Amino acid sequence: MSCKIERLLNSNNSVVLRVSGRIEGEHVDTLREVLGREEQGVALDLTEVNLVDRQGVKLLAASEANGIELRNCPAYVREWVSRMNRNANSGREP
Amino acid sequence: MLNNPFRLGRANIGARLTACFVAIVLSMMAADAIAIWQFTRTAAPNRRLAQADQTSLSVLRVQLDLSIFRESLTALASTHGIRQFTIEATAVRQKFVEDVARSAELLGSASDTEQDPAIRSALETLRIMLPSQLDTAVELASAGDWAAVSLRLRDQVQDLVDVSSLLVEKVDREVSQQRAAAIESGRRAQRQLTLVLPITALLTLLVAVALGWYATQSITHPLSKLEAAARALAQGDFQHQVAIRGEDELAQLGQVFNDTTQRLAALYETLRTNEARLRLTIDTIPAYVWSALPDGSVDFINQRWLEFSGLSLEQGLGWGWEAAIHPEDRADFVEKWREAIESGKAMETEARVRRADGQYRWLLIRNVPLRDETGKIVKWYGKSSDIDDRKRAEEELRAAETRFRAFVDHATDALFVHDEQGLIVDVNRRACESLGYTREELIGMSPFQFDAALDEVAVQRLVERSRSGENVAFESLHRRKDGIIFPVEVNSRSFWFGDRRFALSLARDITDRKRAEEALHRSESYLAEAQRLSHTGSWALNPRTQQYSYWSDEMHRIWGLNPRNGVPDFETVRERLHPEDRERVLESLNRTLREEKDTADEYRIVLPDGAVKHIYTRRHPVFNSTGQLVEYVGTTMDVTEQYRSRAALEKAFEEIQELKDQLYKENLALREEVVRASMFEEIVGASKPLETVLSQVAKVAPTDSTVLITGETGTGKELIARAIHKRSQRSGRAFVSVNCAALAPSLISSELFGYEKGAFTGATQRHIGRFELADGGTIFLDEVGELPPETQVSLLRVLQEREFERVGGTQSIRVDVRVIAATNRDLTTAIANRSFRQDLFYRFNVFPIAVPPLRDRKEDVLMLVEYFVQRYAIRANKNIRSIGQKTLDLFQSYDWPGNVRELQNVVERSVILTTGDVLRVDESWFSQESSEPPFAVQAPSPLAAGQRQEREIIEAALAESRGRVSGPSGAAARLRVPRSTLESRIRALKINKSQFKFGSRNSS
Repeated sequence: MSCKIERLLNSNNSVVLRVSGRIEGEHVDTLREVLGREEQGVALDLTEVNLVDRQGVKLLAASEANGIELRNCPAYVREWVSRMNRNANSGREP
Repeated sequence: MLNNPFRLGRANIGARLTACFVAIVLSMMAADAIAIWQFTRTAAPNRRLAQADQTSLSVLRVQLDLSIFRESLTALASTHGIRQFTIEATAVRQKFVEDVARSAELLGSASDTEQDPAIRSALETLRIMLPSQLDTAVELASAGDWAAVSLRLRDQVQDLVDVSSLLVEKVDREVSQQRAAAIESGRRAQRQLTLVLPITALLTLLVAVALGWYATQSITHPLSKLEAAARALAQGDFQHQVAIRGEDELAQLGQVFNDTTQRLAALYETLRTNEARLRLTIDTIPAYVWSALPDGSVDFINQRWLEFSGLSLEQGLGWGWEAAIHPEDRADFVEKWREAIESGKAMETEARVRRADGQYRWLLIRNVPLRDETGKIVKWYGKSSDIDDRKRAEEELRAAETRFRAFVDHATDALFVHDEQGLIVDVNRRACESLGYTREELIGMSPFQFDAALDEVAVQRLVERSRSGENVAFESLHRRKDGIIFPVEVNSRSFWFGDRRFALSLARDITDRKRAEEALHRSESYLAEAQRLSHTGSWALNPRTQQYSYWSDEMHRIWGLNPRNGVPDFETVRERLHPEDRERVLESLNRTLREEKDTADEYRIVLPDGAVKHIYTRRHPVFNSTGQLVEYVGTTMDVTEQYRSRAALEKAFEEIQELKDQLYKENLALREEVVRASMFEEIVGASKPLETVLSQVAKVAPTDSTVLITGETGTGKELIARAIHKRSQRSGRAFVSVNCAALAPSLISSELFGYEKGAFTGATQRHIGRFELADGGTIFLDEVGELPPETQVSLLRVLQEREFERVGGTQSIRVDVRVIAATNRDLTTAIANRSFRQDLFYRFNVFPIAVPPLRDRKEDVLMLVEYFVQRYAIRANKNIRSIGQKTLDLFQSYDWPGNVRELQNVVERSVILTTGDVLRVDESWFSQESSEPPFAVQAPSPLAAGQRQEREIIEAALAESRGRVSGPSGAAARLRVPRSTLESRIRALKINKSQFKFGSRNSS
């Protein structure tokens, strides 16, 4: 399964990155690079994400901590990201 | 004025200034005199006015005296006091006379005015008449005739009073006229004064300014000329002349300046001539000369130096000359130059300086300071001489010495120079190294001190032999300083150097040679042994004589010849060749000799006892340094054993090949057997509906027709697809399964058809799609009803034309793929809903197979339970012998909405939980699942409804399941649709599941 990242521009000129497929392996780096190119206020639409590995979740957690909105986040990814953020706040290794 | 109209320029400056000052003072005095004159003119009317007033007063006083005289005398006359009368008359007469006299005097002093003549006559009348009247009155009084006195006083004196009144009137008129004239005159003088005073002051100022400017100009103008001349002179203009007229000091100074300038011009010309001569001399002398300022910056360079270095004068001045110094010498040179500047001491050094052609040459550079009378350095003078030739000669000499010493030191032999007594006078480094002594230690030693094989007598004998001119050579043993002894070969010979005879001995360490000889001997033994063990002999053949020049022992052994007979001749060898191979071998040998190339032959030889040996020979031509063929060398190997082994091996290979072919055939047969046996692997059951399906599979499998498999979830649609593939001619190729519902909608195309690198963000490399992977085989498209419309179009093209493009690619790719599609949706309803293309449906629906649900083939349940129990018991390492009756009843009575997959899961769960050998299930597992969902009847399948209705149905189910999709109580189970399908529809309809989490949509 591949990973596809589409850049959508809303009517209010805010950017939404719609990710499809899997966020794992080299796709994590690709997504990080794409996020790095965007200004503030970008959102990630994870509706079509099937699978996220640990590095992917770390990236999503870090992105959310940096103010990037995670839209339509699959439940398991949502739970994992939240847990990672909680552990990060408590100083434990997630 | 500058041209000196008054010819004052002839006077000296002091006299000229004095004259100017005097003129200024005189002009000021004249102005003052005019002012005084004007003031005087202003005072004259006033004076006349005062005089008139006094005249008027004196006349009035006369009139008053007359009046008083008449009154007082009249009064006295009445008293008849003669005496008093006389006294008073006398006093009155005297006062009257005085007043008349003053009036006459005043009137007489006003001579500048015209007077009425009656005034003076009246006054004269009074002066004459009154005294006579008084005298008469006194005489009468004395006579006592007081009446006459009174009468006279009344009549005669009255006449005088009248005269006096007339006088006063006239005088008063005169005075009035004079006053008016005086006032007018004063006003006129006043006006003149106000005009004359500024004019005189202005004129005085003009005169002073004019004289002052002239005096200043007469000095500053020549001075400025002199200053300009001095500046011109300072700038080297010796032709400049000053033109100053006059005969004053400045004119004389100008003349002096002009004379001096002319003399300086003459001197400068002389100096220039001398400098040119000097420069020519400096530029001509065979030396590089320059001068520098006290701070070291060069201010002069002679032409030779510039021509040598190729620098321009501007480039070389200051510190620019540094560029010509060799980079390796520059820092050192500059450092020395700065030290010399600081210390004030002369400097001498050598440095390489770049010549105009870029070549560096060694120069000897000397700098000396020039000091003034106080000892202060005022200049540096430097000179360089080209010492490159000398330097090169020195370097060459040094290099030659070094080279010679290096040759001697690097000689591989130890070198000793002896005097006539045999004592060592010099050695090379090798001698020191080989013996372990220093050069100083060896000098003076006698050879017997380190030669273990010589004593003093033997040394003397050798010296004598050498002295006789004989070249003495011998082997000996040298002893190192540390006691180690090593063999040497000594060659000694005497020679004359000047008038002295010396002996030169070369001692060569032959330890390696001795070892090499020993090693060679040992190597030959090893080689012979190796040849013997490997049955390989070696030989050498003279191409010119075509006779062998060398045969190793092993060669003799192989060919059955006696080594003691030496190298055999060619004919002997030829005779031993097998008759069948002889011509071929000889022809090969001739070709080898002709073509001078490496060759190899395999042939047989026949020994005298009739034994046949197989021989392998390799020949190699050897050329000398000029490229001429010198000889052939070669090896001959007895390969009889290998030949026999190879024959056996080839036979064994043939047998193996036969076995392999047999095995392959058996393998094919077995595979067919396996395929036949497992044609419906894991399709367990013997029910009529299942048999119908399997019959359809058997019929359609060999064809390439597209198959559409329908059936509820868990009925085993993929197993049917696999069975079709295995029964098809494509079974040897890939079976690629794609769950269309599990793929992200936006990725379905790229997964099915692949994509090129960079087709979209995330496409970091080319990706082969499922259709390409399945080329030549079968692709199974599960849940095909979930395909998005755009993918349906692409899929339609693949099904029609069997070709597609990768996402982001432009090249069409043709594939040979059999398509088997499967769905649990009612595609006809989906077509009605426009969620599935009709034309695609017809493409899929070539050969439909409907897999029955398990509830329609309950007779297969027991068979399936047994099958799964056996599988999971083995996997769980349990021994389950039977199934409880109650369990069987439960299995039989349950409707299995999840079909075989649900049954499989229940059995697996049961096997895991069963502790004994009887399989049991928990009734509670079926309590929920066996009961028909209450809404299942009322609610139509959401997938069969319209989109609005579908949304309502799904939302109702989600509300019932509190947002859960999966699980027994989840919305999927309630709606009897697969979880993945429902999830897909929820996404497609954009239903927010989370809003049903708390029981109703509104609660969120």
